[in-house]
Amino acid sequence: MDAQVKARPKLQVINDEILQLLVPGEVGAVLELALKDKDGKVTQRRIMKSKSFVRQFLPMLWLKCQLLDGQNAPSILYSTDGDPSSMRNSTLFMACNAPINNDDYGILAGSGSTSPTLADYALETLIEHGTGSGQLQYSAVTFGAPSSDATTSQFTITRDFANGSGADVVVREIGLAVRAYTAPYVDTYHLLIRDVVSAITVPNGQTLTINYRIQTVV
Amino acid sequence: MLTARLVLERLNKEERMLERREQVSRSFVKQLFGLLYVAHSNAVYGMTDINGNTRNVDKSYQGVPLLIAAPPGDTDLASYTRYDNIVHIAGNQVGIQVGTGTSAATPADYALASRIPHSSHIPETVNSRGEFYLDQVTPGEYEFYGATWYCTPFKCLWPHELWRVRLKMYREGLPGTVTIGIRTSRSGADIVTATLDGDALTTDPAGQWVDIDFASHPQLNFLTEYNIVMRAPGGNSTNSVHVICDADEVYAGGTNYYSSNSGGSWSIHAGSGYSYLCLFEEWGRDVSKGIEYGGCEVLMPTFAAPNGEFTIRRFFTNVSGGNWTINEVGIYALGTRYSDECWSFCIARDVVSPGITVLNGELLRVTYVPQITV
Repeated sequence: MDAQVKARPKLQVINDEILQLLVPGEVGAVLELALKDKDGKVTQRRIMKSKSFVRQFLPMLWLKCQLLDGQNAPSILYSTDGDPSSMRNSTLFMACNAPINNDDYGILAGSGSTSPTLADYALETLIEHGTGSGQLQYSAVTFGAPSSDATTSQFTITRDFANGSGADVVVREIGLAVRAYTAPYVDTYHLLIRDVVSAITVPNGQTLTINYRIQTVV
Repeated sequence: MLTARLVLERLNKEERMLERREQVSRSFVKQLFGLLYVAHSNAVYGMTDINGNTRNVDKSYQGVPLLIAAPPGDTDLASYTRYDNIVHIAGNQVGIQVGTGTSAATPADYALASRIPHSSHIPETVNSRGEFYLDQVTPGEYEFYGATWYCTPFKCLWPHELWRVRLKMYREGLPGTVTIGIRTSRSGADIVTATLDGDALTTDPAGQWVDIDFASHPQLNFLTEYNIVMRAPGGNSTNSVHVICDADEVYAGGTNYYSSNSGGSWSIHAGSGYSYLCLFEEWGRDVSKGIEYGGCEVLMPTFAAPNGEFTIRRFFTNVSGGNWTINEVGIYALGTRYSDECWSFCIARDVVSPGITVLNGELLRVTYVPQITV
């Protein structure tokens, strides 16, 4: 195994200034991909506008806007397993602070290439955590606190994916999933964002850092 | 991508449409991301509340960062933070807001520039009775003089200026000047005082109702506790003021306290099987000019590929006796802290130009429609 993820990766700030890709009034995300070799040198970088809040995002936000503590919500959300969920407000609600080695939630990587649709509730083909063939090692998710300049506000969600599989791993889709607590007392995971990107090959021993910068412009 | 439409509709009393405006909401501000950050990261985050104070927000146990749905007006919005820690906020402090400010929105905005407060009436020109307690389950009284002070609390359920307090008292001997102060904390400073001639009180042990009128009129706030602090510093045990009480009070707003060191420290006037409260009334006027805030509704999401949307809506009724010109609209959301605290945070602020004038008796319906498109 040539690559390992750190338990708490250093937050990678690619630009000191807030990069603005949204138009005024939009709430969205800027997706940044940085491929780094064994020495941490960036060998490839992509920055793009994330296009695809999927269906689950809206009821999640809706619940956040109207759900009181401890209440159960109607089953209007689908988990990443495709099951309808009756969500319960709790500390876990909408959390994406996934720990190391966890590929249930947080930023996720996949190999599917089908264009996103509103109805997507999971990545098409999740790249699982591990060092086996076709797998990537998932770091813990970290966060950059909210910041703003004259027109733009944002905060950042970051995760490292290290390739220790012994061969290339190709990433074609990226998602953001959050955790929730549904009745009766079961953890579930829900996909909020799914983006399909042109293939990015992570060679063995290299690390892909993915930043979602959740952003809005006045 | 998420965007939002903002719709303002002016209606007459019969809810017939008089004017409609629709614009793209441009102005989600930084505080929205503070609350989303708390939701996503489970971290504690310092944010600026609508009063400009830094507040640490979390979502420990049952915290509710980003709550927008709210009851109307001054109706109590109660929520839990941790275990049985209940937090309260007036419904009008959460959800869609309106104001008269015209300055351009910036990410750093933490409140509307000039929010129109909630009010259900024409500014009052005569006093109305606010809190009162007139029961006497068991007749009782308390004697104050010199360094022996007495205090009866009340909880304000109707925001207003305080003009008058009424107490039932009689004198023993010649107690001299009596001072009645109003305090938010028993041991704190008076926010207003008035004096009366204790030597002119009745000596009838049944007591007489005495009007204590204040020359200035402090604003009393919803759900805040205030204290009527009574003293006769020139008196002594044979020249004192007796205030009539209920010795088995059943008032939800508090219980009397007494002090033997001129208000330096206080002891509750209660024990096993009894608690004291003075018979009292407080009177005042709500002179604020505002607009009546209805409940803020958050309606169920709907989907029609490639879009999904839901509606946030609030009615405002102008019963102020004059006109209001609405130049700004925004959304306040609730944030909580596990330590039994909650605050409002401004997550969106939109300038409406030109302003929309709502005449007395008319309604304004403000609707935000957040929408995602894949």
